[in-house]
Amino acid sequence: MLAKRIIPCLDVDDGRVVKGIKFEGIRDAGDPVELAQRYNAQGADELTFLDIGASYKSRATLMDVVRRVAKEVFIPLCVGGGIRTVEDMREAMNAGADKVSVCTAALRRPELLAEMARAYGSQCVVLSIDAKRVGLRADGTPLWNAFAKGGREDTGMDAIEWAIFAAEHGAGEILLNSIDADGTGEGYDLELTRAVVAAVGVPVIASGGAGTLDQIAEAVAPPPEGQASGTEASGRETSGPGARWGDADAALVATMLHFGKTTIAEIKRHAEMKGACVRW
Amino acid sequence: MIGVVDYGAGNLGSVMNALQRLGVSARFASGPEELGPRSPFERIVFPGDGHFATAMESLERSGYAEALREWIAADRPFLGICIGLQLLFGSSEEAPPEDGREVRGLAVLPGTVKRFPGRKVPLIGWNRTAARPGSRLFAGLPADSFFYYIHSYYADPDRDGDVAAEAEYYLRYCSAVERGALSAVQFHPEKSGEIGLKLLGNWAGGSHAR
Repeated sequence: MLAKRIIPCLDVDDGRVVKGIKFEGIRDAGDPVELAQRYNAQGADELTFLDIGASYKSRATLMDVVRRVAKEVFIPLCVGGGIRTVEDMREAMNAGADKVSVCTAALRRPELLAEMARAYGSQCVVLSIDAKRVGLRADGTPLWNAFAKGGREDTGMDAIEWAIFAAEHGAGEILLNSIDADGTGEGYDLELTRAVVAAVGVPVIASGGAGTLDQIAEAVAPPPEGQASGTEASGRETSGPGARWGDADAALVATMLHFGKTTIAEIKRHAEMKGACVRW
Repeated sequence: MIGVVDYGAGNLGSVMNALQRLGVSARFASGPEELGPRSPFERIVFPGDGHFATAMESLERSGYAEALREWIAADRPFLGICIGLQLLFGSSEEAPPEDGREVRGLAVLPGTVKRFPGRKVPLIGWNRTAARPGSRLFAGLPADSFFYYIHSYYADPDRDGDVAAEAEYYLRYCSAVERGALSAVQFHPEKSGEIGLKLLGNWAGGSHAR
């Protein structure tokens, strides 16, 4: 039985963990190596480091953080933020990353995904999608677009189509961030999560919006009995827009952990109560 | 001294980090000649990620393929990790015969490597792993522990006696083998937290060993 993963995300700016609300308003949350060790001890299934400083100095500092964490913490490490080339990826992998995530660079040049997969295998390539509701489709279901540059630029590309393309062209996982939900504490965009999980054959990590333990649990909760995982059965209340399960393979958590509102173990207990298999 | 075989397949730093954490002395082997009769190593780790064919080509070209076969034939302590388990078998569905030419693995264990029969491949994540009674690798570890896996293909050994542990993903599959001094695991013990370090310690000796 494969466990649903709970992944703390550490947004690092010049060597400090910070967390923004709706991609703005930054608060300091501490030392990344210390936090990595704490979350590992709490049972984190993986760690994600995002360099949000995007300067040469900030990058060098983050690589040093990853190097130190990799000697202390023996769980998968993902590094993202400002990775634009296979060379950038190599730098992160050499520092001790097991995978890297890319967002804007892949939107600008989708071949990057295949280049990275050729260099290290698709299991090391995480495509990060910043998705935002921009309207409705002809059939009345929501339309999400993929945004670039940390949520500031609408690419005009359908986020679901982008996920499908990426999964077929080198991305081994999709990190799905809802811009609408990010930092609000009002819960993940479960409709978006279900739509992407149903569309692609690679693991999906839900991100953005966790405010309560139940919301995190819902992101990874499997569909109700009798409904096959990864399918969207229509005409049932349990799978309508308001259904409270996401069926994601993992959930990314930041704010709730950094400010001590909860622990990984508490999150896992809630996920288990909602029918998800977790690792103890 | 533990030797880690580096043949350009994947990131081996984490294996070295984990061995260092266990307090055992380890270094990368400088080449296949270091696996000969006067090897400085008592044990070797054979890690790696990547494609069955690419890995095998690299092993053949470097001379490691022959050196590894001899090491294993002499029943010297060996731990394969991930593709390092799959390469012990003769062939893989990842490298189907082309123009009648098949990519041969090390072929030191009878069996083949097959692709998961499901939609969500690769398997990425922590999977519950059931050890067979008497396994040395899993000795003293809690039953049904979770280990971290990344793979699209799984080994299907001909001999049930070679299987040391099993996991489930679309089907029940072999996730570790043990035969004499030969052991190999499909998961990444170096990325499986404390439990992974304990398993590595069981194999390597050192502070985590019981």
